[in-house]
Amino acid sequence: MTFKRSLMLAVLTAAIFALCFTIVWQRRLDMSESEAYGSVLRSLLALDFRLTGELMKARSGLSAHYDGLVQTDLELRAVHARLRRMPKYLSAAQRVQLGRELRASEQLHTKISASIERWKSVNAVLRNSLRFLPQAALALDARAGDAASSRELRGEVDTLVRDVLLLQNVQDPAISRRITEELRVLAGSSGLTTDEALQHDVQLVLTHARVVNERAALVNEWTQTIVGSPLASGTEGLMAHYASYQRAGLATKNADRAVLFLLALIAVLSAATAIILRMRHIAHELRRTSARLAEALASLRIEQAKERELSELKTKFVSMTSHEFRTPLSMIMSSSELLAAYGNKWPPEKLATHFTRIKDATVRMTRMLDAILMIGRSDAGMLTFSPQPLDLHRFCSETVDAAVGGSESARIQQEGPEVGGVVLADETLLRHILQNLLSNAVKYSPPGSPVQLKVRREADDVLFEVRDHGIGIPDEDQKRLFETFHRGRNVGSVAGSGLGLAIVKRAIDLHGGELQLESRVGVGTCFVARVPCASCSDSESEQRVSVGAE
Amino acid sequence: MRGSHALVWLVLIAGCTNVQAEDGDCAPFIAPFLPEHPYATPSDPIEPLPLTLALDPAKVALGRQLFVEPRLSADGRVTCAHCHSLALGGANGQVHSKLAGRPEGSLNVPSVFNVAFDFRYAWNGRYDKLEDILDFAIASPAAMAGSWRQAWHAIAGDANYARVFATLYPERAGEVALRDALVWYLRSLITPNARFDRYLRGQLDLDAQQKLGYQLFRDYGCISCHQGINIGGNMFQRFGVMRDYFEDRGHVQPVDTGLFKATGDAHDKFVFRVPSLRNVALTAPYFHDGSVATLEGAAKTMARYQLGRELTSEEASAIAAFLRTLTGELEGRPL
Repeated sequence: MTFKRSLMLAVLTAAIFALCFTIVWQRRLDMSESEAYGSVLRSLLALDFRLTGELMKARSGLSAHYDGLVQTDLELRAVHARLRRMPKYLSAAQRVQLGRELRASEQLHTKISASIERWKSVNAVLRNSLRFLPQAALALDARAGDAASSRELRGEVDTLVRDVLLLQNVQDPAISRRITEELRVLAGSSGLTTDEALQHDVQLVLTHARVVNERAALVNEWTQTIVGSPLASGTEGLMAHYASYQRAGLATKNADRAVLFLLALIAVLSAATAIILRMRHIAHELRRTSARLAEALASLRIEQAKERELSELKTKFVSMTSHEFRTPLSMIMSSSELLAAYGNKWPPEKLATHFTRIKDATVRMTRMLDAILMIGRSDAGMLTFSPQPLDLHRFCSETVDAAVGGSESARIQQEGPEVGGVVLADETLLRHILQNLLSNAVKYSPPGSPVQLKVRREADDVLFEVRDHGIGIPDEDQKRLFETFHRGRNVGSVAGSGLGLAIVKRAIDLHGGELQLESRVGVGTCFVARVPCASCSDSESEQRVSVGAE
Repeated sequence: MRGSHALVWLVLIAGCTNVQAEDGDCAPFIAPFLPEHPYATPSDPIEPLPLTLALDPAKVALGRQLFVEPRLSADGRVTCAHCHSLALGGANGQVHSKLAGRPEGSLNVPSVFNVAFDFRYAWNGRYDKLEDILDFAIASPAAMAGSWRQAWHAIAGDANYARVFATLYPERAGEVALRDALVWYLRSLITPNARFDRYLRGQLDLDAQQKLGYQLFRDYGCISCHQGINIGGNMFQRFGVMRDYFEDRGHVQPVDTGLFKATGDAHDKFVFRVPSLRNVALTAPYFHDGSVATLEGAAKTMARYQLGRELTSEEASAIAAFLRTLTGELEGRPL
């Protein structure tokens, strides 16, 4: 996982966390709110019971007014209105369900309210007649007097009133039927008397007895309707549902909490991962930078070393040239001065000696210049490899002669190459190689000691092996042997530029060959130069050679 | 009366306690009948009004100002107090409302006193809340003939009102607040300390005629409907239980059908809210049609049509004498 990805994950989970938290917060289960709602629900039940109680109190006459009943009814309505504001944590479905049940409960309550209103009206009429009937009977009794004619009437009224009062306490349809019969009888009896006032009294008793007989049943009916209404059971159902919602809400709350915790954990972890990755990335960058810095430092050091070497080289060059040029120059100077002063007096032998000296010094300087130029050309990249057909045998004879002066050439013990071997090679490079190797061998070995040159062909390579029995090259110098101006420490007073082997090395490299060295101090040195030289076809070689000969 | 009831129960309970205490079984049965308990005695049918109500005095004061504010009406000429005069028992002393430039009202103006204890409003009790009947009054062509919007716009420009409303209703100053302030004021219009209330509290005694009136009021069954703290105002009753009042009167108008006009339910025909009898001596003429001018006449009419009997003049006078003891005090001043 990359830094960017984990950072994105962290931001994403944090955003999701914030979103979820907001949602959960809005729908959070506020226990006090939930409990308050539950208690309001319970109060619905309590109010329902109170309503029944108030109704029964008013019915039994224990309460002489309806204020309690009205108050309870109003409170029930208020509670229903209050219940419409449901707790926030309920889901939409739960709200709909609870709302449906609440509406049902409200509708039921509205019905009950309407019933109560009817009940109150009917009950008022009933109570009025119940209260008045005994008084009316008493008035009738007084008016009827003790007359024999009215005794029967008084008896009938007495029975009626007793039955009506009985009906009030014993709700028996049989009594009601009996009252109906008694009412009929009394109505008939009232026609017998001629006393209008008495008749009026009887009518009054009849009216109120009838009212009681009819309304008592009605009131009881309404009472049963109201008391038997399933408001309480509906409320219990509501409460049970709400309790289950509350439990579900609690479960949701716990689940929400777990999800939130998980989200927070992921957010924190990915943020931590992002930070760690970032830190690792930074550390890595630091390491890379410091490595680069070290590299730069190292290359700077190398540059410095090179520079130092260069200046050393310059110093060496200056000292070498000052020495190597001054010696032959002074030789030329002295010989030429001597010749100028005594030339006409000296014998010819002595003259020849000085002329030879001058010539040798000139040759030496020329060689030195050649070598320096060669190195310069090589450094400037002007030295090129351009192979031409070459007669190896002729080349070797010429080169040996050129490398060592006539007197010294006797020390060279040459082996090979076979006559007529024509190869493709760069003559200039080969000459530099062979000349330098040979002249070094002659120069650094005792006078008269043999120098062996073996030239042979191996497949497409030509091997030049130059072996001397000279001073040898110390091991420590062998490593730096091919550096310009470097000379072995054991060279002593032997004159040299320190350029020969450098030239050899470059020429061999340019020719694509290799140089092997085997040397022991005081025993001798053997260089083997292996140079790839493809054979020319005979016709071609002959042609070239003939051309070269011309 | 109350005292004697309590005494009887106390004696009974005392006896029961004495006898049953030895068994130790009686306590749960007696407990509900202890005097402190609400079930202690059969309640008196009439309860005295409380002396004060816990209301917001600032809103009440604002409502009081609005009650006499003519700008609430459409033409800026009528106030609530035009029909509900505090000096005339919260009504107007006329058969119907008659206001200049307005159609005559179809019903007698009901009192605004003690509406806090009514359970429904208007003659036929079709309104559950005071807010609802105020909605009716502000729009009724015979009354304010306007609208809350118009009323609010009429007073909203007034800096004094604007300030008070902004203070009392910082979040919902406007039409609803205007109505709410009026409701607060209406609730505050209670008339405690009527002679009868003080009699119930044992603070004074009634004279013989008044006592006789109360006795008749109970014995003849008036108390069956006119009961409770407001002596009515807590139930519905059909006008003409024992005899058909409207047949005798004639000219049945739609408003005479009572609650039926609002519900269309045949059961509600001629059903009215039982009005409170508090301050009834001040609110003549009587009934929804204002057909009776005197208390005696009203008592006789009620006895005939509701109770199924005729009152003698003496009985009617006694009941009227009792009813006159129901006149209370408004804000400490006798009405």
